[in-house]
Amino acid sequence: MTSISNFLPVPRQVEEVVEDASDEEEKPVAPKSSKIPPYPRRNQARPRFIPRNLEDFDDGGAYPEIGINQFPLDMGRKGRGTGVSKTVAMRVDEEGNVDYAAVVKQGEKSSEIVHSAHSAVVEKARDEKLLQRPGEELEQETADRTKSALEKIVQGKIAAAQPNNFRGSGNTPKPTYVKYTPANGGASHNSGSSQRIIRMMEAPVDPLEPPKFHQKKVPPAPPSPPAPVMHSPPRKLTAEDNKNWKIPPCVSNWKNNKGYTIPLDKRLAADGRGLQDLRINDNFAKLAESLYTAERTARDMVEERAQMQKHINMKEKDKKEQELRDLAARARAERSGIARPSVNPPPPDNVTESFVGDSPPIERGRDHNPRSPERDSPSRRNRSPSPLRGPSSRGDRSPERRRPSHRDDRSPVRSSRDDFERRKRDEIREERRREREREMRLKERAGEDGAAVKKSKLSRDKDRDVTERLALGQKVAASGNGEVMYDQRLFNQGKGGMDSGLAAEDSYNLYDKPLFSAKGDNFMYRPRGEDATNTARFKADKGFEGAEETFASRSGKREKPVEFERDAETSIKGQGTTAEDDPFGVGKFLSDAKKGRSERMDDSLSQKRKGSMMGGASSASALQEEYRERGKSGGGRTKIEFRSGGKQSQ
Amino acid sequence: MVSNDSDTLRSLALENMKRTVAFFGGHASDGKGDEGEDEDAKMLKLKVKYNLNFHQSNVAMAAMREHDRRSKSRKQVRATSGKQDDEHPSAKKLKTEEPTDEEPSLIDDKTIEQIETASLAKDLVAGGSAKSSAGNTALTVLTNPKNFGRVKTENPGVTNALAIAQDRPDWHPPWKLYRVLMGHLGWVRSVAVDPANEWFCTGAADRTIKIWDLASGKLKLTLTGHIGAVRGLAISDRHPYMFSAGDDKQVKCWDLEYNKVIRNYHGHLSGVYAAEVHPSLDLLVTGGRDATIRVWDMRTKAQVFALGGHRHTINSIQTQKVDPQIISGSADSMIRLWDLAAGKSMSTLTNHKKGVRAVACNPREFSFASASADNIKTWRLPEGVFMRNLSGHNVIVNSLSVNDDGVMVSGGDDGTLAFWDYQSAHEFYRTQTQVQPGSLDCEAGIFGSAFDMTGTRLITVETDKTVKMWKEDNQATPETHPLSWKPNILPQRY
Repeated sequence: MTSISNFLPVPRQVEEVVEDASDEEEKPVAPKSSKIPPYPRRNQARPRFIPRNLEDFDDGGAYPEIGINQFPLDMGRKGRGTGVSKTVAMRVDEEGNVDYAAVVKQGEKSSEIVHSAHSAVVEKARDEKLLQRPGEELEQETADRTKSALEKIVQGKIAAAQPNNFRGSGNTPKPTYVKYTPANGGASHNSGSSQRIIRMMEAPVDPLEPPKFHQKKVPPAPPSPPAPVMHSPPRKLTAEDNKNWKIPPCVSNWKNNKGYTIPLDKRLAADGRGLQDLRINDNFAKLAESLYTAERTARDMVEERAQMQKHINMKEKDKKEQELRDLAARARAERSGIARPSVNPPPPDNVTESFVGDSPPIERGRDHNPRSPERDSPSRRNRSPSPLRGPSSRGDRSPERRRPSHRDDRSPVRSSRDDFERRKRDEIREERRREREREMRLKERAGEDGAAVKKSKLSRDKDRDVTERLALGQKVAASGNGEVMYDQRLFNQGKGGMDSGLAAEDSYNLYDKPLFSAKGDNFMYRPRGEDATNTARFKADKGFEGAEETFASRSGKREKPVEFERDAETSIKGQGTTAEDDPFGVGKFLSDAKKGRSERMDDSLSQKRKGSMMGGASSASALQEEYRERGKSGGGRTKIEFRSGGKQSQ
Repeated sequence: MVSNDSDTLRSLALENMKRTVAFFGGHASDGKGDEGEDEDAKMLKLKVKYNLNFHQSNVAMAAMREHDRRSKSRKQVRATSGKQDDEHPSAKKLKTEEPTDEEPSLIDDKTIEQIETASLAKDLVAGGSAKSSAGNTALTVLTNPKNFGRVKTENPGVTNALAIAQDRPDWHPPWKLYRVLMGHLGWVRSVAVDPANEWFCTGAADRTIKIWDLASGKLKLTLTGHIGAVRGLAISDRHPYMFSAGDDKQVKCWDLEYNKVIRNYHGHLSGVYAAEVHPSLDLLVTGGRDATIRVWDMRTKAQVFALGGHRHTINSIQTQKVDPQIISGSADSMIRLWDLAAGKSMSTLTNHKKGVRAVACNPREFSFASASADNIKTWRLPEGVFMRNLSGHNVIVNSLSVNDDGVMVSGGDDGTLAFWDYQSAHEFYRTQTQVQPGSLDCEAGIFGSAFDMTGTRLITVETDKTVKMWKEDNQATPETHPLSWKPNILPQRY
């Protein structure tokens, strides 16, 4: 017996016939019982009867009393005998190695290139042949193929936007007609007709209608079977990695929305202020120190200088005082010592005069003590009657009072004479006082009488009105009894109020009178100077055109309104049409056209228009005339010569 | 006296010998066994063994099986690099025929021997000079491409690693900053270079787009119109149009002849982070925070596709003339290649572990690079086969650009710029951008980068509100900046 298997080599791969997994799970759970329980007791059978296999049905149908899925004769069972198998046929390559990529190349991926072999993870040596770029023809072929494929898609996409694809423009399918005979005929049905014809066509679509649906994100392609992962699984994170990726939570010094309790050290650590050690440049300290020393020296120097200045000032003052004292002594000596002028030489006159007029040397002269601060104290001043106290006190100074000098005081020999003089002085003083009192009394009496005697300042101020006080800048004392003070002049001013007869409520007469009516019109904006009022220079120096006659004297005033003269031509025209009849000049235009030659520009008019503005126009008309003349004479068309209008007119 | 002298001499010599033995016991006692063996070598052996068992047991198993089969069928061993690798799928689920106690012995001493040789070679390559004759031969064997196929390795992982180590990087001069452009009032987020190479435009968080002269660096124009940061810029080389996309969900088309907005592409539901023009068709591709790539017909403003599938923000988009016509990198750490004609995903690349912020196509070869916070990876197109892993730039990489010379620049969020040799995945230079005066140190960050059309000038846009321009250092030579390259020849998976 020779069979073909004798010639073939022994197969390398021993193929195990793997049973379909689905078969196994569909094996009956219950032990197979060849015996089908009889009809009424199928549910009560122990062990429970579950019909799963073909023989369980015994060539019959399903058992309705058993509530599980049953497939008698394998009817309705999915995945068996329909060609959909979960088993992939094993493939081998030319070397006989199993191609395991077949597992991941099922279904949609059948056309894909799947790298699943070990070779996909090892480097490969270079092979120039395999790395050559594809040629032109392949590129061209690919381009053509792709282009044709994509053009179809693009045409479909942009069809709606193209007008020739608009439905109803010809290339739409023609309507189809369907004859329809209703089954239940009768007068009540179908409007009594036995048949109807239905015309079917596609409903027109607005080509400009925006798309009804938004573009949606394209869902990822079904992941099964996924591309085999050709890299090692990710490394486990080491502790170091973990540490490196640890990002501390944000700890803010200002916000803590969730109210966490944050330890102080964490706060400080998060702050980051203490982390870096500050290195301050030495020069900062140097600068600060040198600034300090500089300031100190400067201050010392200033103080010293001030001290010095003070010293000098004091010296100066002392010197001056000494001088003054000498002067005073000299003066006193001079005054008292007519008897003995020899004691002190007379000082220069001017010094004496100024001294007498200005300051009283008496007290100073009397004083022996060196200058001291108490000297100027008010208490001391009060004790001695000062000549500076009042304006009148200067007048009170009696020569007797001035006379005694300290020299005299010093001498005990003359004490009796001094006493005598003092008494005398006191008498005089007393007399004066009495006199003043009398005067005062007299004055007061005169005030009561209301005579022309001037009021005292006090009474005068009392009588003043608030306004006056304000104007004078005096203190306006609020009256103690809470009475409000008013400026009396504000009373009874206008016609409003009770005395005006109470105008209607709605009458609005706030601004019905001129604001400055009382003061005249032109008090506000008066031009300054004489020149401003002279308006002569604003006079027009040129009159209206055609009104020269009336504007005879330029300087003179116009007696009557400006009159405009009617265009001379219209008056000259003897056509019977006046300006009133033909306001737009149509008749004139027609007559001109008929005549072929205009007589508008006659001399009278051109003479009349002297204005510079008319110069151009007249020259233009002259040109026109000239041109017409030429046309008449020559008969042929000649070139127009344009020259400047100004020359022509001159 | 003489005998005395000779005795003392002998004793001295013996003592010396002892000392020498004690000092250099490992090397002197060659045949003495375990005590003499170098500790380092032992450790290395153990390490390699363990590593191979750990990483490559499946592969090794497959290799073993293959080895058995080959010995039976007496077939000639093929030892080509890349293909062999593809031949061995992961044998994770394969039922092992051998008993499990045999597994550790799968990595035989022979393999370890080879790995040892290779590691020695690696050290030598790194050192740059050969020190021992054995290493020298190994090096010549390894580095000579002709010999490569003949090096017998049963372990395909090792074979592959050795093959990868063949990609010796080209020497590139370091790049230096030569111009700083100030003018923007906010973070500068995007840059695009005119296809005619006369100007470039930058979009910033101050809601303006500024157009600068590329040669002189003069500000030519400021365009206003966006009401949010301008995140994506694209200039068409077939139209006088510039496209801008921003945080304000707007995508605008600017006519550069009038400097006015002529179209708005309405439809994004959230900020738009990337915009690209299709190189051969009149299509605009945008993507953003709504995890959707939208394809717009340029002229009619109709949205052709809304490509869903990403689960997170789309950070960058690249377009190509051939399939996959759209490549998108997303914050869900996946890269998707899109079949534009069908409007669906062609492939999903899940090798990145972190969000992919930048994707850049190589202008010369049919591959692209993607940058994530963990690694930068290069991929072969059209299938999206993982090619190389560029590790070392361990920051969030915001931008990636490749020029014609195979120089790739990755700009990090901390202001580092890493320059890579694209083919060999070697980082040849790294620099740190300087912030403009008045900025904080933390304001050093690269948001975007672009090479000009010639690839000789690099423009970076940064957090410190400046635009910086870089060029190659002319003074640098291979002598002044020698290549320091250490290929990783141990098999590794990424």
